[in-house]
Amino acid sequence: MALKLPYRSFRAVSCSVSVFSSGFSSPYLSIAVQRRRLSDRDSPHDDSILPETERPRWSYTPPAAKAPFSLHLDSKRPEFSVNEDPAILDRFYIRIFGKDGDKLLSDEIKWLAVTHKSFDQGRRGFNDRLAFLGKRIVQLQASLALAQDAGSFARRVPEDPFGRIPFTHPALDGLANLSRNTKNFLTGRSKLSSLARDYKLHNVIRWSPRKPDNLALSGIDVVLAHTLYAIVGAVALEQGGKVANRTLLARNYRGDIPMSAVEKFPSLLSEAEEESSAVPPCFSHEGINYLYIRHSNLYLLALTKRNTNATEILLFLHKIVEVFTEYFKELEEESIRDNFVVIYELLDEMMDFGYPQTTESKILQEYITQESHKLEVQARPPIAVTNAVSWRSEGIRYRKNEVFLDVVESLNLLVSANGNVLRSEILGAIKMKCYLSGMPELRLGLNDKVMFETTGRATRGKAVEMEDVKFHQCVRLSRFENDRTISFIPPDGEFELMSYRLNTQVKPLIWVECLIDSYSGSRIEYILKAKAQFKRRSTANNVEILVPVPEDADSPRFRTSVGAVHYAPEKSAIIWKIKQFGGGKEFLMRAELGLPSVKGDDERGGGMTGGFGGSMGGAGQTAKGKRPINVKFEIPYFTTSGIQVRYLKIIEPKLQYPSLPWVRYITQSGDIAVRLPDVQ
Amino acid sequence: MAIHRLRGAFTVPKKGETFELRSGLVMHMSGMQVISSRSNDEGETHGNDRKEAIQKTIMAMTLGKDVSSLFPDVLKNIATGDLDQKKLVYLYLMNYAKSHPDLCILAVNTFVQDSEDPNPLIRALAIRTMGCIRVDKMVDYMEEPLRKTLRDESPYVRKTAAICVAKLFDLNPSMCLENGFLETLQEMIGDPNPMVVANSVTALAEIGETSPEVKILDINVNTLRKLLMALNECTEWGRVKILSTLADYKTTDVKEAEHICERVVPQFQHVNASVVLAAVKVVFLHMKHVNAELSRSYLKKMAPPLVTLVSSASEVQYVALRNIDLLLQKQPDILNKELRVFFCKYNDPPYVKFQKLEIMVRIANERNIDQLISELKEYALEVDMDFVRRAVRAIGQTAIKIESASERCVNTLLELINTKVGYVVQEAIVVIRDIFRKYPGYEAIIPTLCKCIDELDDSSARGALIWIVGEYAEKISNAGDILAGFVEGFNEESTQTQLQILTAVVKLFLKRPDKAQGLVQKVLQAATAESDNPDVRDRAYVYWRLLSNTTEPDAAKNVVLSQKPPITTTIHSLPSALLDQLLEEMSTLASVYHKAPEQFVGQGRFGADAVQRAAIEEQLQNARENPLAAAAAAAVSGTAPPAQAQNNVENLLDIDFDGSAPASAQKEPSSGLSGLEGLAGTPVRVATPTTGNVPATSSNLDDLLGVFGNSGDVPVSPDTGLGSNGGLADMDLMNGFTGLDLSGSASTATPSVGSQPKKTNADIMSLF
Repeated sequence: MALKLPYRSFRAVSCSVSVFSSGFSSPYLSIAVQRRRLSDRDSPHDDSILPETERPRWSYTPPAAKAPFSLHLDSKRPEFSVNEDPAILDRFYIRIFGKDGDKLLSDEIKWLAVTHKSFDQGRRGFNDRLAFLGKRIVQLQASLALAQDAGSFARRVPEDPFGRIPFTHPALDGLANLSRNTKNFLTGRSKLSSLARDYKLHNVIRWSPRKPDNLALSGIDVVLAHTLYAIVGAVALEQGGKVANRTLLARNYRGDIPMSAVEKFPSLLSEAEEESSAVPPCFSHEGINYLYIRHSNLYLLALTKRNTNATEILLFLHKIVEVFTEYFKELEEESIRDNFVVIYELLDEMMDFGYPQTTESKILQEYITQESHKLEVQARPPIAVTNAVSWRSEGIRYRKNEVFLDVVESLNLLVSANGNVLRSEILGAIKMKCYLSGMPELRLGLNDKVMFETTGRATRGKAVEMEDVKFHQCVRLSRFENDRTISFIPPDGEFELMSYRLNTQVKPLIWVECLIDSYSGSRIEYILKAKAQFKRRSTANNVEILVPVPEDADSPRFRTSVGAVHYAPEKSAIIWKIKQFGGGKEFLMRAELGLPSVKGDDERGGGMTGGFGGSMGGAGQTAKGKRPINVKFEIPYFTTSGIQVRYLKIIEPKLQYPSLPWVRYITQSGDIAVRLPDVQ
Repeated sequence: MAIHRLRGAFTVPKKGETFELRSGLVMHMSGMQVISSRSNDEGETHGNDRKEAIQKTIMAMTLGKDVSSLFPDVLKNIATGDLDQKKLVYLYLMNYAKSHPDLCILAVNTFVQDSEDPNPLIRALAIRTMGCIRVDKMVDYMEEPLRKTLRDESPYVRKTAAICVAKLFDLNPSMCLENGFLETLQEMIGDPNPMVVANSVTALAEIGETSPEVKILDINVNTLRKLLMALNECTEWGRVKILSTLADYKTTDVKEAEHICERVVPQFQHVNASVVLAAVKVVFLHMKHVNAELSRSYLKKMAPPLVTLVSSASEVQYVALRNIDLLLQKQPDILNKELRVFFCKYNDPPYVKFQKLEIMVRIANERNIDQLISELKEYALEVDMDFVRRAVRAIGQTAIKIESASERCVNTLLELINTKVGYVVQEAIVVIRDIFRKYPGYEAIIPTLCKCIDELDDSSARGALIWIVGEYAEKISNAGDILAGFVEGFNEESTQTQLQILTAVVKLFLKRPDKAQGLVQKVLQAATAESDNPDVRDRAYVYWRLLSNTTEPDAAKNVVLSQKPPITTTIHSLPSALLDQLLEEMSTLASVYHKAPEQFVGQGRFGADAVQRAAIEEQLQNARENPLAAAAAAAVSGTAPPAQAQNNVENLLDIDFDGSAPASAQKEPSSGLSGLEGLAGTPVRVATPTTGNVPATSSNLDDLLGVFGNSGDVPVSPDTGLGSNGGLADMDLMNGFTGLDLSGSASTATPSVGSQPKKTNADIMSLF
């Protein structure tokens, strides 16, 4: 077989699987996780390898890499012979990894990992990159071990001459050891090389010592440590995927899906990803259906054998994220591991036999708590769980009864390069913070056009026609359908009462125009004009305009009349920030960036830059397309649609308290994208 | 504590870990009596230690270690007043009950006690857990607790018990039937508590789905009223369940349909996308019965919520888009004005983008076409190769769909070809070929296309270009040269391209005989002598004969150059029967895959029947390939009467010609399978349902005999053609194998549910 041209790919796929085989069906909830896969072969030496013969690469020097004669015409250096026998190498790997250790790595990598760069002038590949990776891994593990168990490395505290006893606590044990020194001591060269000698690594390394007669002076310790790192790196590369790809937590609701199906998920997913760029959030494999969502570096996965209601299950997965986030602040691997008991309880309470039950986190928190229950007061299910009003408990009391209403509108816009608004959409939401006693009955009045029409009321001022309205489950939908009254018993605390959508054509509140000039491919200039197209009374705060630039641009220079501009190479963009942008104002910004000598236009730039960092930055993503300009801002006391809260009536029949509603309006930028024009 | 746990998570399992856990679990167990009499404090400490040990055990379980060996020790902790500890022990039990079915008995007592605990939480916990312990012995003890909890005063317990009936039915249907739990469930639809109603409906729906013969979820006017009442009050998930039940309800009464729609429409405003989709489904399905005007108004009301679904989380959005696609195939004009909503966002995941493209093409019309084309062109300049190809394809589909836009589309495609990006050019050429097949008048652009001839490496693009050259050979002055270039490398081309070259050269020859005389000789020679592909050879021979037909010189022209009807559309649509079926499955996985549920779901439990079906399929395959041997094998097994077998063998001889006879003969897909299966080339076994429900009392051998016997009893009317006769035999053989297979797996076969020995007979009767 001819040698594969080495390729490199770096992917951080981490996954956490929450598996329910569920729904109509057969739930099984598991939260799996976190895999870091550094994939595949990595021969450090990818420039010049051309397959020539059938011989394995490690065993010979490519003829093309050989000079016709040696420059060391009469080298006095004696020949240093190294191991060439695969059987000896295999025995070494068995020594270090145990049974079948020789099969852990592929043939080529086995040799590569023990080849120092001094060997054969590096013409047969060498282990520097593997070692680089391995070193990071060893140090990470050492640090982790230290952090978890600093105590076992503790030194004795000298006795206090005055007989004082220092404060001790198990958590403080060995705190003094949490320093770089301890870590370095643990992973130091001498320790590692002696470990390497234990495994008789020196018998198999391939290197060319400077002084073959004095290995210690030639730095064998360094080489041994280095090689050991390389072996660690090689294992991480070739086997890391399997080892790191674990299910964090799983709950099987119906017992009809084997755990092996869950474990298959990561490989199925990566297979599918290799085949096509579009892997849908549900797929079927061998009669089992996988539905998953991704939350930062976790996958939540549901498995089912039946024709489940997919929407319901996917939404339920999202709900789980929501509930867990409320419980643990952040949903991540750590918080799952630390709270598995509560998580199991929650999973059982939220879903039974594959059917979602209660997902209202406020209510769940009343009877599933992280504190253990004292024996005398046992938790009981709140009546609310099964009540018609399943979102509010009875007996809530506040000294001061207040309601805060936030009308938040976010604007989604898509603007073409020549300034046409392709799509505009206002997504509004009315958020409520409710601090009311008892079971209050609320009624909200808006300047809703449909309501004005149905009630035949003369419209004073502007009325708003809402395209689609979505309500929190507390709102009585049938009443809204009948006479457009929004009446409800609110949950306690913070929630989103309703959201609405308007398709009315809006002009961009902050208009951005961009001109791009490129000078003979070595320099690129952006001229940006931003104009606030709203009333002078209002002011936009925290305006941020993000302009994508070619990935390898450098030496930026900016000129602007207002705000600050900076270059963010990690996003390949320049960001123009303006704290306050008055209505009707107009500002200008010029940016000039240098381009590296290799020409690449903004789409296919970068390309074959090679090197270590360059290709890793891509992180498996396909090349970035034409990224749009992004605009962010916030305009207080202003709604784009002109929606207004006309009244909020609060009636609590039993308590009859006075209450104070507060209303606030704000417009935010949602997803505002202005397509970049072509480079002139 | 956190550090402590961390260590637990990271350290490798030590040898003594199990031992350590065990000692923790039984800590001070022997001293229990003493402790209880001692000070409360100390007792609690020991309790906490044990709890911690259980926690560690569960932790180990979570990490995937096998801690089943601790089963007896964990079980000893079951009798506790501590709720947390109880939950942990129950959790452990659910996971490992299967590995120690005998020991589970020891827990029964506690479960029964707990199901009478004053705290409803514990009662519910007990009944929920019992249902999850899928061990036969446990099932035997479930009867009493379940009966009590179904009538519990706390709705929380009742709703848990309702689901538990479904669990029990899954394990032991006959016990459910005997104890009348199903009737209780039916009564519970009238429960004052909405959540109990929802869960009862859920349980009934599930039971009805697994065993359709237990006509359990029988909706009448009365239950309908109750469901509609509960709909407005229960939780979002409950609403989904009730709505899907309403969708399955088949009404014929106009008034009733109107009433349902009217009550369901407000749910469009619910924030939960699955409620919205379920409501859309109900209204869409019941709309057929109401008058046209009303149903139009419902369609209008449906549009805004559908559009809003497009701004939900991308996974949900994907499901919604797949469903919108279905709706649009049925009702193409519901989202006429909403094209902009489906414009792709820069950071949409690819699967959403692809789906949006398809929908955009579906809702394209004369009014929004300009917007659409400029948007598609924008996409075609992106970098994601797959996406770009689809965008280009979409431009072509629009051109073919809307005649007035074809010119703009062609111009856009030409612009794209001028970008010289390889994959864009290739896709554009394929698309233009299709445009030619509908509008032949765009010859002017051919020279531009021919310029990129060297850049095409994809066989479909090459084929497309060659087709164009052949079709317009008389108008392309250098057609001969172009084709000669392809003929040169004929042997290296893919089959598809070879076929195109062949046809194109023959077309050229017929149109301009002077120019292509040598070429046609050469290509026919290459195709007949050097190619080993049967298609290529056969076609070459056909052309050869045609061309060498001297008696009728126009024959070749009439055949090869005849007018072909223009194509009407290149937009993919589902066959209407499948579409209707999928619309009834809206929001489920079937609607996402656009596949009938039978294609990816095993009907029975544990997928046993999926395995079985695969085995049967394999045997059938064998039978098809080698009918004699298979029939002989069947005969040898001594199950079929010899005469019958003989008969079968004769009929089997024409089985190949009759492969699809069963599907076409089958009028009413009584088995629940759609006739589509047959169309797709997979044989439909009419008698399939019987396989799942073979009466346990009759032995499989009897059953098999019965199948053959039945068919023997069926009088074959003399005027039935040989074809259908063959079809019947085919069926017999299939049934025969089904039976055979069952006999093999009889020990594992699912317990019988209601026997229907007559069914087979009836099915076969229905064939005639």
